[in-house]
Amino acid sequence: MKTIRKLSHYIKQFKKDLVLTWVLVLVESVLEILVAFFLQYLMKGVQNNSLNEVIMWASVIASMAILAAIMGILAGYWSSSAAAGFGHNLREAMYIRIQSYSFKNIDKFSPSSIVTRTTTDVTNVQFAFMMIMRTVIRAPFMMIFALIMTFVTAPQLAWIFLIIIPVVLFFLIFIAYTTHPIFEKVFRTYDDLNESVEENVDGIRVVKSFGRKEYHISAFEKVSSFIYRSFIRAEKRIAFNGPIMNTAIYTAMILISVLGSSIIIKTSHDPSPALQIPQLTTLFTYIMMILMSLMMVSMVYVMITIARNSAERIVEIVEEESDITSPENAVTTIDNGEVDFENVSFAYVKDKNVLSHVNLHIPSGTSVGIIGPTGSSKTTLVSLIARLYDASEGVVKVGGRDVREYDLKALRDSVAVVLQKNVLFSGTIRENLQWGNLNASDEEIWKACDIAQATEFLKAHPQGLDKVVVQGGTNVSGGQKQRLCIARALLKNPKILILDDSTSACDTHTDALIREGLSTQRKDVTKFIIAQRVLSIKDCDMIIVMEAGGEIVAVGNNDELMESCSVYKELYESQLRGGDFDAAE
Amino acid sequence: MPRNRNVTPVSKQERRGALGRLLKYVFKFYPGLFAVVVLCILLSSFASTVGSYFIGNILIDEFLTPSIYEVIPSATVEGVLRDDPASYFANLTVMGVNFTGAILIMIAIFVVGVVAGYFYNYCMSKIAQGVQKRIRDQLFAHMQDLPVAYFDLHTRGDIMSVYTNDVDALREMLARAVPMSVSSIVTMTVCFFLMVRTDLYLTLVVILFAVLIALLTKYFTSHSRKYFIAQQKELGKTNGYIEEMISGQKVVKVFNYEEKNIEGFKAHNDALLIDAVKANRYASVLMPTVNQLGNLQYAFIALIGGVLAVSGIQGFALNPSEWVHAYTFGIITSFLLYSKSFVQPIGNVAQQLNTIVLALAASSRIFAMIDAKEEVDDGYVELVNAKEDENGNPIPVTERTGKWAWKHPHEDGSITYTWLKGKIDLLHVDFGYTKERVILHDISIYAKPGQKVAFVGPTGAGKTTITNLLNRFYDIADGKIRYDDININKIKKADLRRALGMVFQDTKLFTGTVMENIRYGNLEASDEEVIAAAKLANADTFIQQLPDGYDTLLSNGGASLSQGQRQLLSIARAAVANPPVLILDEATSSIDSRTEYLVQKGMDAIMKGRTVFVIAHRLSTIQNSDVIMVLDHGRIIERGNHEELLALHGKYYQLYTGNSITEE
Repeated sequence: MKTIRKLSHYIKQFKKDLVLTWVLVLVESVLEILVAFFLQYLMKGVQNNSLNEVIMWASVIASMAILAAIMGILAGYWSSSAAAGFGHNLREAMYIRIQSYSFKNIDKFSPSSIVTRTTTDVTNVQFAFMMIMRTVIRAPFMMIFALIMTFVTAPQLAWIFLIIIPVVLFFLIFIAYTTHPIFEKVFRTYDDLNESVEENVDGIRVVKSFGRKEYHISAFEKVSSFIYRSFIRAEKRIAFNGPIMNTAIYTAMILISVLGSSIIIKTSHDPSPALQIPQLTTLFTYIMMILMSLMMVSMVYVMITIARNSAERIVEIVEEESDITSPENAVTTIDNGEVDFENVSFAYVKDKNVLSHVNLHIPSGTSVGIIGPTGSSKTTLVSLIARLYDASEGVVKVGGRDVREYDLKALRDSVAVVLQKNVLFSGTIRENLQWGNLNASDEEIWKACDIAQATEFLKAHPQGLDKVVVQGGTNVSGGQKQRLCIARALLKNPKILILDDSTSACDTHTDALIREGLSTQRKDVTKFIIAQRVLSIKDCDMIIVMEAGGEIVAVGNNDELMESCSVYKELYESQLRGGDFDAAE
Repeated sequence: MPRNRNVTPVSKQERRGALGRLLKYVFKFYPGLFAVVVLCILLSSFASTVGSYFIGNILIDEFLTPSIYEVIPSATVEGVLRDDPASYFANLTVMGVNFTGAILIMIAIFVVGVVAGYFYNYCMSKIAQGVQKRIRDQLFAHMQDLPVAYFDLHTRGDIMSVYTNDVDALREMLARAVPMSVSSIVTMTVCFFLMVRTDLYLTLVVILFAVLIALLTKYFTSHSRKYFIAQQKELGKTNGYIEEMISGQKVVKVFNYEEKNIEGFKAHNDALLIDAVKANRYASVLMPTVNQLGNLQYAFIALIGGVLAVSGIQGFALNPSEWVHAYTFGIITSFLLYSKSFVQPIGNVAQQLNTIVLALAASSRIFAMIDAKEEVDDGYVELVNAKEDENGNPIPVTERTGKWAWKHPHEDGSITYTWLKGKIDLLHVDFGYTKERVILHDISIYAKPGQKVAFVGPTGAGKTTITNLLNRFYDIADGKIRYDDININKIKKADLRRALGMVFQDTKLFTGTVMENIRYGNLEASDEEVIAAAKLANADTFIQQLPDGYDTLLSNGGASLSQGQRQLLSIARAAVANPPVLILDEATSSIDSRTEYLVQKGMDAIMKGRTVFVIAHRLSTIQNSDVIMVLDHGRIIERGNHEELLALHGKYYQLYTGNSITEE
């Protein structure tokens, strides 16, 4: 319920549509009840053989039906925009909120989960909303009006409904309630099913190499049989819904037939009979109306339970607070590319430091090489400079100021990061590169490409900068992608440039040319280069050697480290002895 | 539920074909159940229609009206009030049954209807679930036989969507839409029958209204479908945008691109809103219109019936006991009820129409996958367990011996057995993924049992492709490949692959324990054998350190393990399979130095005593290979051992000395 209240907030500008829908549905329901009510007068007219009465009541009913139709159509009109608008607003609110997420927030949910929540879950909630919107008003009011009318029409018989309604409602809700856990379990098993398909598709070469077809088939069938059995167990109960409704209808019919007949017969001589045949017919119409409403109520209940999980997952997204924001009175200019780490520690999970008490002073314009095995927190170290994460302890300074004093946008404009796991987006190469600078001219773009060694292959392509990158960037090779990502970062004209393993797919020669371009043409920029190859960093002004666990083993230039650091020396010798057989592209 | 579906256009014929095949599943696997369903639908619709008939034609017409009024023949319809209606009513019988009897009969009919209603709901969902399960199982089993090329052409997302969205849409249709349509048709038929039995003129009025409603429904649904498809397309675009941008969200942050990103998103989301509103409008306007047409019809029938009654016009009915009749109150009442039962199903079916169209499109995609061509396997040479006879020749046995022989049937009916040795020859092999583009040219390689062949060369030179030809993931365009002097096309694929061990660069682990993942290489291996293989592969140490050792559950492709650890498991897996020929793709990406050392050791250990094809990145592997193939652009440009190649001063020399200046 709390979730529903939170979500209802996002109807916003479509509140008018929703209220209109509800008013119109209400009027429509009243009119429908009135149609049923006036029917008995029409019947009386038929019974009395009075053509005038028949014509009069027929036209009353016809005009009410037409009016009800108009109301219904209008309600449909507004409800459509309310439902679609609700989905639209939810999606937008989530998306805007996600844009404010820090890396930590993104890591918490994982991109794939965020995608599912903004797509599938929103669709589910929107669908449920549309189904419920009308019914939530129509069903209870229909039921109440119809009940009132039975009391007006035949007070002696109306009590029948007072018994039947709660009994039916109880059974319907009971069924929905007891089957819900089964469904929840089935939906979780669905994940297993999907997982086994996914694994199989992913590893199809392994499956075929080992000839493990039967092994996977039997595992798959186990899951699919479980789903089958669970569903059957649930359906066994759900199949009661229809018969329960029918039993209620039939019971009411029989009771009204028996009791109604006896009243009609007994009082037929009274001057104003308590019940007459036309009223009896109307009562049968009310039976249908009341029980239909009950059915709708149980449907609403089911819809809500189905959409509930999705709704909760959406609320989690919109309520997530970003842990990194710009301070008030933020500094918007960064003086230079000087970087300082003062007693910096960092932990992703509380008390599990992956960096401990790091102290570094890096003057503006220095080129810094960072080398070390996976898991040595190289990426973490440089992430702190652009405030992608906040240090758990200590201070990271850029241009002599704590990074937390800067406006985030200004800081990240001055600190360009080429991420290890980088992406290009669908669109032309030019559009992609302009991420770095929306107003970059072609001349500036080509200049950046020259440094990033992207010019040659771009010029070789007939469309050059207008070449279209497809989603996921699959039509650009790994090495080309890396070079484009470097060019994109260069276009920002940063004071600090961070290359996180950004040339791993380029061959050593290209790698060397990129470094050369950077050192001659971006002399004043402070450069951080994380690399696996010693070759990529050995000419840096400062080399930081890290070991697993985030320990900084040594800091110095190549010559110093060859003298003093055995880890570096070993790496150097193992890598630079003999060629590189992994020469890519 | 309308999820993010790929709306691949599906033609009308395809949809019809899909419907036919779908029904075949129902008839073939559930003939009995389906017969029960049809029977129960008949009974339950019958009961509900008889209910209306009872109230109009029996209760009001035959019992109540005559008991209250004495009808004076040839007078007006209105009669004169009876003196003692109670006693008349008590003694009144219709077709030999008094009121109590009639009520009891009705109760009996209703009970049958309720019970039948339960069974048809239950049986139908059983059929729907059963068909769904069968189709899923069939899809999965068939998928195992599809060639690797199928998976190159279809993304994982496309395949997953068939299993989830499409199969769901299908169940939705079978479980809800089909029974609703059938019961609607039955109800309409029964109603029609009762209507013509009651009165022909009024039947005509009802039919006219029904046609009107049907036309309107058709108009609305065809329009709404158009917009619905537009909406699905726009939804696909919006979701695609979300997927792309969120996957690159970190890049967005790094480039301060949030505002531009929101702008781009809004453009999609706003366009989606417009289409969604349109699509929903047509759909949500239909129901109230149909409902109220039902009420209008009500008024019309009452009006026409009343006019006919008052003017004393005689009516006709297809009723053998009373062809001609006057318009009585009872007749009009029952007609009002029939008309409602007759018209209501039209609206119900209309609502299901979109579900059905979507489900049929989904079925077409399902059947397209089921119909996809399987890997051709016309091999007839098999691998069998064998033991030595006194001359050292193989004799086939049924028990596990750890020794294998090729069972080679010949045209004259004789069978010969030869030992599995591990000799591989490639003779002038050409290959291309498409006929137009040949990417391997004239590849010849001879590997004697126990030899090590290394492939080196730049990415894209065709190293991995060669290994994919040995196990027949792809078939060669020209030339020959022989295993132990048998053309591999003659060997059953499963047996050929059993005789070749593969260690891939990116390791695929499956959900299950570590033990299960290693045993994957040889399902018959005992726990001891699995552990021995892990020890051989140098994996035992780290496995022991896992929380539950060999029983540690791996999920998500072993995401909790490091890349190096995953590779160790994959080596252990190949070790437990113990094949005479091994194909290894060494890791290129750096793993932490300690694990890398272990991986090297593991690889070296399992290479011993086997024929090995290795895509080599490590100097030590390359140096001690019996022969090194230097590949470039799909050709073997140099071959020989380390020393020979260095002496050549060619490409290998360039690569080795690091003086590489050529960029691909």
